[in-house]
Amino acid sequence: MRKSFVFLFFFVQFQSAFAQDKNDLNSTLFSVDFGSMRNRYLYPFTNLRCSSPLLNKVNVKFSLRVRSYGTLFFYSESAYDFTPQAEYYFTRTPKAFYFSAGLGVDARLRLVRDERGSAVSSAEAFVSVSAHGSVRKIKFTLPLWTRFYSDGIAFTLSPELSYPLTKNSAVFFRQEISYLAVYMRSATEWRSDNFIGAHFYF
Amino acid sequence: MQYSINRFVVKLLFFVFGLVWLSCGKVPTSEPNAAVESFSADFENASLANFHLLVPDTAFNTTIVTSPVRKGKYALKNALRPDDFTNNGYRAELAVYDCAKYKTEVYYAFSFWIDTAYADPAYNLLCQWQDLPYYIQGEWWDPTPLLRGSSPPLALVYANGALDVKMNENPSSNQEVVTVSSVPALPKGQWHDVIFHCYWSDDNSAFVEVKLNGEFITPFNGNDYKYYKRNLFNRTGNYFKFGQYRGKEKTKHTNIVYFDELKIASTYNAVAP
Repeated sequence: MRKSFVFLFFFVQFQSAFAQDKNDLNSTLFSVDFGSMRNRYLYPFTNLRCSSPLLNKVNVKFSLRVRSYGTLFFYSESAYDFTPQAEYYFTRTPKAFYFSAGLGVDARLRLVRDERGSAVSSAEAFVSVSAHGSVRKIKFTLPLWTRFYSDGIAFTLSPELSYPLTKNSAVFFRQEISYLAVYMRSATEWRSDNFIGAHFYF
Repeated sequence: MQYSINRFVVKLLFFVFGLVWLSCGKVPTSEPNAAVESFSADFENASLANFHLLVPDTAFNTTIVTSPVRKGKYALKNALRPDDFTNNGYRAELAVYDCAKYKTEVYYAFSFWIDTAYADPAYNLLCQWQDLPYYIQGEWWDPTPLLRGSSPPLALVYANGALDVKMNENPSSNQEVVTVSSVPALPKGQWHDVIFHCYWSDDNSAFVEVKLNGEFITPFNGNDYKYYKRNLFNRTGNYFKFGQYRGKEKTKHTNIVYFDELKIASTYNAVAP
């Protein structure tokens, strides 16, 4: 109940403090989302993401996503992913359809170890290309991330649909569809993770 | 202008190269067809050191005896009292790791003897292949909230005098367990030899084929006795446990089951009794 009041407090503050229309390019974006349906079973995880507005001189914005595993309350004792990213946008103002491209690092932090598994911490680079657009009130983004591993590659397509709740907030649904491939072995895997969350612009 | 663009491209290439060089990790997926590590326990050395024990009281729950024995001089006596609770359940189990990996074909054999005084009719898992978190994709035991709670993908269950092979395909439910085969009245007070032949996969190429005392007990499918159904929830694989497991339901009596001649290998001949 206390958490609900805190959330409501911030929500009201966001609404009253900002009058102008905010969007992905001219404002700082804070997102929180939760995933649970993973492939064919339930497993909880939480994402927090913060991205800057476009820089003044170049159409570049920076973002950081932190993903925690095994919880819907962010704090995890087992695993986190830290994902900083820089993206170049081919426009300064949102249009019906536009593109961006970026670079980033996916740092996987694994805090616990079980002798039945082989999970270790590591960091991988990725490049991204994204399509953005809107139809009426619904906005969509379609990023394609290509991650480079020491023994393979992975492609992740993350279609996201968002719907504005107010001038400064939106709810969204995102699906992450990944294809992982090991170069020298016939090991490939499809993976699907689903998320629901909210964007806050300020 | 041209000079600055070239400098930018060179810097970008160095940056991309640096990022790729940073990519130190391996693809977070399990590779198939790993080698099967053979395992054998005939209890002749009176040691349980090769097992991972989920046993409340080793002095009582898991003791080495000289009678009855299937082969050799010793066997394992597994006794479970009503209050023997450990690792979130009423159990006395011995576990073997790394023996049910993704897309491997493995034979498991052991002999068991239901004590003539065994009285409880409720279910008791004599062996099970338990799923594991997908560690390399960030998963761990006991997430918050606990969204998954399910029966193991494959188990040998003794209940009400019958012996059942049971499977569960839904990792988010324990209400969708399928009975693959059932032996209605299993005689107590004698040795039974059971052999599981499994192909482990997270799709329906997976199968299980079970022999009890030399006879197949899985149903004939028109070609053979392989029962095809997904038996991995993810590609980490399963791990093997045997003994007695009663979940959250305690028994009224102390139940005793004897075990001997546990073998795990990649061929039938290596495990045949």
